[in-house]
Amino acid sequence: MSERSDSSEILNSLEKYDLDISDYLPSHSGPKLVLNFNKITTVSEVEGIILKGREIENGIIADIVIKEGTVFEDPIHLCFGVNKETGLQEIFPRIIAEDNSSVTLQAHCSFPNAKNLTHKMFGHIYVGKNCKFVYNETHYHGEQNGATVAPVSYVYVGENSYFENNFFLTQGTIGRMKIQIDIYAFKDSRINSNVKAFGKNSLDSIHVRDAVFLEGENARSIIKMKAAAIGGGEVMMFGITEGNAANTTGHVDCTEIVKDRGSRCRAIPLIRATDESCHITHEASLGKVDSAQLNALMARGLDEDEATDLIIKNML
Amino acid sequence: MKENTKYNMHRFIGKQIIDEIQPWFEFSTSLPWDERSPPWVFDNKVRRQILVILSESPLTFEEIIERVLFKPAPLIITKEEYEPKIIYQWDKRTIENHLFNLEWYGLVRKNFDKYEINFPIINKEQLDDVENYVIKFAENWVKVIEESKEEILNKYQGLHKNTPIMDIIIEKIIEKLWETLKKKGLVPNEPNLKHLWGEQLRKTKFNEWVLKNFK
Repeated sequence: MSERSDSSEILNSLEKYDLDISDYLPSHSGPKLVLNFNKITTVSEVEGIILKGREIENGIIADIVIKEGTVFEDPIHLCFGVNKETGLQEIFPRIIAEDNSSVTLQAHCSFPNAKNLTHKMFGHIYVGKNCKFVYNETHYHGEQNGATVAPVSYVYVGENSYFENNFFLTQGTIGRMKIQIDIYAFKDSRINSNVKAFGKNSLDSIHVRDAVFLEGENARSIIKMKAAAIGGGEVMMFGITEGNAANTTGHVDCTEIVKDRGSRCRAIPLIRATDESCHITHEASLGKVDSAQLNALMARGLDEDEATDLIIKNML
Repeated sequence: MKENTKYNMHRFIGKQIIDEIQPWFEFSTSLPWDERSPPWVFDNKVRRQILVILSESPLTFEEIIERVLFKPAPLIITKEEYEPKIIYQWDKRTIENHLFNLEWYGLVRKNFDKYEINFPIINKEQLDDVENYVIKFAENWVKVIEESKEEILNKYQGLHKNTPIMDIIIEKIIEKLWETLKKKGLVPNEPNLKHLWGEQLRKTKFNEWVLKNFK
């Protein structure tokens, strides 16, 4: 299969989650970095954004610098695709958003044919002062439970900046996945982190650690973790918020639905305060779907399974 | 603020060392249920960074504040191409909170106006040197295992074919070894040593990776 048709398959798989693949095509003028397994197929920069990638033995190293004051409406696209059934992909991205910048990063990890495929990422995101930085990461691991995915990210959010993290893995199967994201929030910064995951069968296992360390005065954060495990799937959500500075506020919210025998959901909201003026809270609920919602849908003619599926779909 | 009572010194240096498994211990780890491994104090990168910089030399509070700031640099974009200007600095109160925490866990202590680490640390050169002993011990183990493997496998052939009997025996040997060494006073009883070796190793491994990929 040629490299062009390989890339097309990865791009087409993005349609599984209703994305316009024209954003990823070389003809699209926006900034992007597209991979086909461990080959960089497209790198395109725009004014104010530097993108540089280097291929290494089993993956790539990538630098993305958003220069001071750059405000970019369209998302910067990163596509880490593998259409092979087996293999190892290691990604080392480092993203630096300088002061007063505003960008959205749209990362897609698409492994449509994964049977015994490993994807690892070790990334750093540095956000300067007075920035708005939105990081969206969506995964699609095919239908064969064959992916092992382990991304680790460290994020530093500067003074008076807003950082939003949206991680979604709700289409296709999961395989085995362990995600870690540690966010360090400086003075007056705001963090909004959302994780959604759906384990569909006994070969699906996802463990997520989403941690926010409030390191600067008045920093605020909210972590929202939503997950469902059906057909014997396993989900574990570990939400951490630690207040280490004056007047910091944080909240961890975990909601998980478990359906079918053998399915397992776990949630560990872990909150800590080392400063007397912190206010850190958490709430977690796990188990069957809300009976009021279920009854309302069943009263409209859906059977229990259909109603449960609809509630899960709506939540995710 | 750290309380100033007669118990202060005990909290400062005290560590729970209990050999007997008790009802409030987690069955999977045999450790108290409220202590994760590694302890949560290591979860935070700033606290780890403070330990790393104090492992080089004792520092005053102001020196620590100066040393924990950092300026991120790109991995492959050179200084000539572009040099980002971001600098991160932690405020005094936050560092103070982290130091209280490290003191409370007995990892750091204040000696007059300087903070210093409260545990031994091993550097890369010493670790390389230690490797010779590691090989020597391992080779002796291999000899013993080679001599007894057949006898063990014959004796336990009634077990399910997937039972990793040798793995189980090796794991139990390590437990027994520690227990016996402790009883004979041949090992220092320092529970945090393992984690801090880990930290040093991690740093070394990362530096090796950087040298391999970027130089």
